[in-house]
Parts: sequence; structure tokens; C-alpha cells
Amino acid sequence: MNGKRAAAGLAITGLALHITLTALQSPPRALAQVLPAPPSGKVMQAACLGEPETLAKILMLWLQAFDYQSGVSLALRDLDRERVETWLTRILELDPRGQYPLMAAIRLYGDIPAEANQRAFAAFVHRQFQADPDRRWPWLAHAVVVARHRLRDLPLALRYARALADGVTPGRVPSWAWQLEWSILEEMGDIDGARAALDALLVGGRVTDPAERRFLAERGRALAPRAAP
Amino acid sequence: MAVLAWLTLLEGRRTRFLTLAVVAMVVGWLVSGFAGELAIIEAREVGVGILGSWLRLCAVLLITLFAVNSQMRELHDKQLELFLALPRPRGVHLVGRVMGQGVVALLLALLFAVPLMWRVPVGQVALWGFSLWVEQVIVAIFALKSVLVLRQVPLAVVATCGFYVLARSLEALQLVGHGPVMPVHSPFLIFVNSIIVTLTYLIPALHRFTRAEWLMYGSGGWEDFFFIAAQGLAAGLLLTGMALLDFARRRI
Repeated sequence: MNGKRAAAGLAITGLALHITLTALQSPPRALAQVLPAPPSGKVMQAACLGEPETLAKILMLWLQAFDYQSGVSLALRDLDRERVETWLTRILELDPRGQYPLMAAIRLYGDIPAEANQRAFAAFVHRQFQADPDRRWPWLAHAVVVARHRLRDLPLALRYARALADGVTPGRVPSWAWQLEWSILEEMGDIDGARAALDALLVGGRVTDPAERRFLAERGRALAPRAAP
Repeated sequence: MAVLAWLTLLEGRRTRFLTLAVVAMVVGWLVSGFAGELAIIEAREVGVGILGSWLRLCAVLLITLFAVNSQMRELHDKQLELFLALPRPRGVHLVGRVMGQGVVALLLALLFAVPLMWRVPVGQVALWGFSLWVEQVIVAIFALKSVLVLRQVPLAVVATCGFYVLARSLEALQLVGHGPVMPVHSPFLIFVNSIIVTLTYLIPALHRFTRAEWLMYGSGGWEDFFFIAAQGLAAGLLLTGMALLDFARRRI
């Protein structure tokens, strides 16, 4: 009986001490941490124990949540853009089939209302697209939209649209993805260029669906009157 | 042999091994579900990737602890001496134990494949489960051998974990050692690289086993199946042979 009482006394004393110590501690303060520089690709490969894809997914969730850490909402624009880009590159190296880093680049970090960021992440997506065009085309198509409607930089949008058209394999991606060029040229006022781009689509045999060919031919004819002086 | 295998299975049931495995499975399911919810895109890939890697790690850890604990109890209870005193070959005892661990590993692999069935094509789950079973058997044999040699639980567990980590990271170590910025003429580096290359011939390439990418992208195929079967057979024979050698030298 005495043994039980002693044990209960010990436990209660310990509990009281624990509560007192916790109460005496200052309340936790949330501190925004700076995004650390990523380790080299080889260190990451060694650390993943042969499962780079899982590490890539976990790192992507961690990076995505970096703007909201320990109760501090850190504006995305305050993140070091170059470091974010390097992290995204490392994650893509770990999991080249993953789409998440490209989506995050153009739709998460590229959505920051700062022109320099939008340009940098669109350029990042353009560079990464070249490594695997047929898989990564949706994000370059998004970069075309960003350049065209947010940055209002039609020459840049045209460059990305041309890269998209030249890079992908017809039939493996929807036709609209590689038909953006002529509409941008039309918007730029280069009607002859737009017609030439449409003609190239029709003559080159990339468009095979009869209805689509008819639609594009009609668009070409509709462009013609405006082309006249 | 069959009796020893049955005894090992019985031990698994009585030591609440199954309960622990179910707890690990439920925790993994909850964590991966949470991670999947956090993802903006590729939620399925994120979920199954994390779940697959978690279950793989849990399975290996569980089978290591079970094999070490089981063999250590046998040593302490003097059951081993009793078996060795019986008029039958010593190898029968060890092979029986390996078979028992194999059955436990099979049950664990089947159990851990269940939560993946909902989100991954059956063929990929089957390959993943088969690979997990082979991987566990290799680790279990190494754990049994470690206990016979080291006769201490912490040492045997650490040795088995070390073997496992090495087997999964050998390829990455090889790549690191031959990087473009490495001082290729450094005698120390040449020495270390030669050790790493030697180890690749002796240690199974576990980095090619039980890949989460099969679950995420459905990329597993027959080539992986045959590689794992061949590698598992080779590693199993090598490790069992080495354990039998240690066992044969043992004095009662």
C-alpha cells in the first residue's frame, strides 16, 4: 500500500513539476525562416535511399508550405526566387516525370504579382519544357497565357508558342496547344504572319481532322480582309 | 523444418506482431491521406508514393526486430542447444527458421499491399508486394545471421540496419564517387571506390526493389520481376550459406 502511495506521489509531483515548467516558459514565438539553399543533386540522390520519387514528392509539399510556417504567413514574394528555382530544379532531377514543380513554378510562384518573378518562372518552365516536351507542354502553354495576358509581352508569348509548336509531337498533345502562334500574331497585328502560320498548319499536314482544317481555313479567310490596306 | 516454420509463425501471432503491423499500416494510410490532401496536383501520386515508402520501411524494420527477437529468445531459452543436440543436420534448424521468417514476411507483404489496392493497378501492387516479400526475406536472413554471430540485440539490429541502408544506397555512393568534380587520381578515393565496387558484387541491389515509382507511375514490369527474383535467389543462397557456415562451426 505504501509502495502504491509513494508511486502515486512521485507521479503527481512529476506532473506538477512538468505543468509548472511549461507555464513558466515564454509562449512560442513564430519566426519566419529563410528558405535554405538546396543540397547538391548527388547528395539528394544518396539521401533518398533509392526512392527519389518519394523524396521529390515530400520536398515539393515542404517547399509549397514554406510560405506558411509555424504560424507566420510569409509572402511568397519574400522568398528567394533563385533558391526556389534551384529547389524546383533539384526536385525535377529527382522525379523527371513529376509535373508538380512545373505547376508550382508557373501557377504558384508565377502568380506572384511581380513582373520579374513571372518572367523568371515562365523562363524556368520554358527551359524545363525542352527536356521533355510531350509531358511538360501544359505548363509552357500556361507560360504563353502568362506572357500574353499578364505580362502583355506578345513577342515573348510568341516565342513560347513557337517553342511549344516546334517541341511537341503532333497527336500526343491536343492540337490547340501547337496552334497558338497564329492567334498571337493576329493580336500583334501581323496578319500576313498569322495567315502564313495558318497556311503552314494546313499545308504541312499537321492538322488532319477535316472539320478542324475547315475551321482553320475559314479563320484564314476571315483574316484576309483585315490584311488588305 | 515445417515444424520450425510453424513455430515461428505462432510466435509472430503471440508477440502481437500483427497488431503492430496493422497500426503501422493505419498510421501510413492516415499520413499519406493527409499528404495527398495537401497536394494541389498529383494527389494520388503523392499519397501512394509516401504510403509505399512508409510501408516498405515499416515492413523491413518489423521483420528485422522480429527475426532478431525470435532468434535471441531461442538462444536465451536454450532451445537452440536442445535442437542442436537432436540427431539431425544443423542446417535443418536454420532453414526451418528462414522458412518461418519467409511466411511471416509473406503475410506482412500481403497485408501491406491491401491499402494500395484502391489507388494502384493490381499488377503494380502485385509486383510491389512480391518485391517487398523478397526484400524482407533477405533482411530476415541477414538478421538471423547477425544474431548468431553477434549474440546481442542492439548489435544485431544495428548491423542489419547498416546492411539495409548500404544495400539501398550503394548505387548512389558509386555515382557520388565518380562525379565530375571528384579528384579521380586521389589514392584514398580510388581505394574507397574500389571497396564500393567490390560491395556491389556482394550486396543485393535493394535500391531496385519495391520502388514507389511503380505505384506512382505504373512503371514496373516483367524485367523488374525477373531481376528481383534472380537477385533474391542469389542473395538468399549467399546469406543462408554464410549463416549455415557460422552455424556449423558453433559449439554446443
